Amino acid sequence: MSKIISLMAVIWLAGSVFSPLHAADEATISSDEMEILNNGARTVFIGHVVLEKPPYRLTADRMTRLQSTGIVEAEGRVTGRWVNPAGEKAVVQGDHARYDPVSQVADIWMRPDRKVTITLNGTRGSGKFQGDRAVLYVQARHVQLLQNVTGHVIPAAP
Amino acid sequence: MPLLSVGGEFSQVLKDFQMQDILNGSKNMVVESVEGRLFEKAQRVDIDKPRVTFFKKGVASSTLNAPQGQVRMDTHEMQAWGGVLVVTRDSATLTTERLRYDPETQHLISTDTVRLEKPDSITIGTGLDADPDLSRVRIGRQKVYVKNH
Repeated sequence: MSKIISLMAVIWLAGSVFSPLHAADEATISSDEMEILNNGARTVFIGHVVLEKPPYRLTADRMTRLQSTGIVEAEGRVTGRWVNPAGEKAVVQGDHARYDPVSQVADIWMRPDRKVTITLNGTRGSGKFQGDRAVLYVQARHVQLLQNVTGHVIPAAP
Repeated sequence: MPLLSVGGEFSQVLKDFQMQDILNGSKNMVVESVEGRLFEKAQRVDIDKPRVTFFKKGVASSTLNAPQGQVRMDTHEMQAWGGVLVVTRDSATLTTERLRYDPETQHLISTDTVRLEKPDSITIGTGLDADPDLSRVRIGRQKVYVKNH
């Protein structure tokens, strides 16, 4: 049974607004190496890839972006982190991820024998949830865990 | 990147220097300079304010400008330094302190900090290996600032 969990979402590269005058809003991607192919039709980021747009941060071993669609695919130790203004942290972990900037939806999944994990830590307590797949709705700022979902919550002491 | 020797006596001063590199019967690269100093024994020319035009399938695809440069007459290897600017037909701009054109691979090579600006992004990194028209670029230790359209 799937459970809808209201959380902060991980925002991705494509569709982010860039302005040199507003450093806090800009999206950046850093990596050990980058390769632009076919006049930028495809860009591959390799090694310790960090996609950052405060307050969101996404890391992976490798990311690929298609210029025509803006779709970003990440693979290898995919981890999304977000800290909300109240200081509550959310971490989403998977093996693969795919973000569509048109729908502003990100899919995260694992290889068949493993689970996507969402970890929460905040003043109200902590929680850990697992499922076969996570869907992040960036604009709505919530994440949905799907298929074979399990989890537990530890409320903070009163 | 090994620096070719800049010392020694030159044998000729070449005003309005030009060198063409032909590949498979087509123009591949044209090096132009207001003045070149030929070192005949070393088979190299030191050039002031070089302007290099790269061609792809016979059409100019990018241009390189720099304060100083050097070109090998035997291999057509070219180096430029002092602030190199490469501009492509589709308005991509590459800047770096020093750059080399490798005639064997037909690639632009740099080990310095490079900045690549395209309509949708700015990339800053260290080290470059690219086609002269920047259609394929590999940059090391980089950071991309993504623009929105």
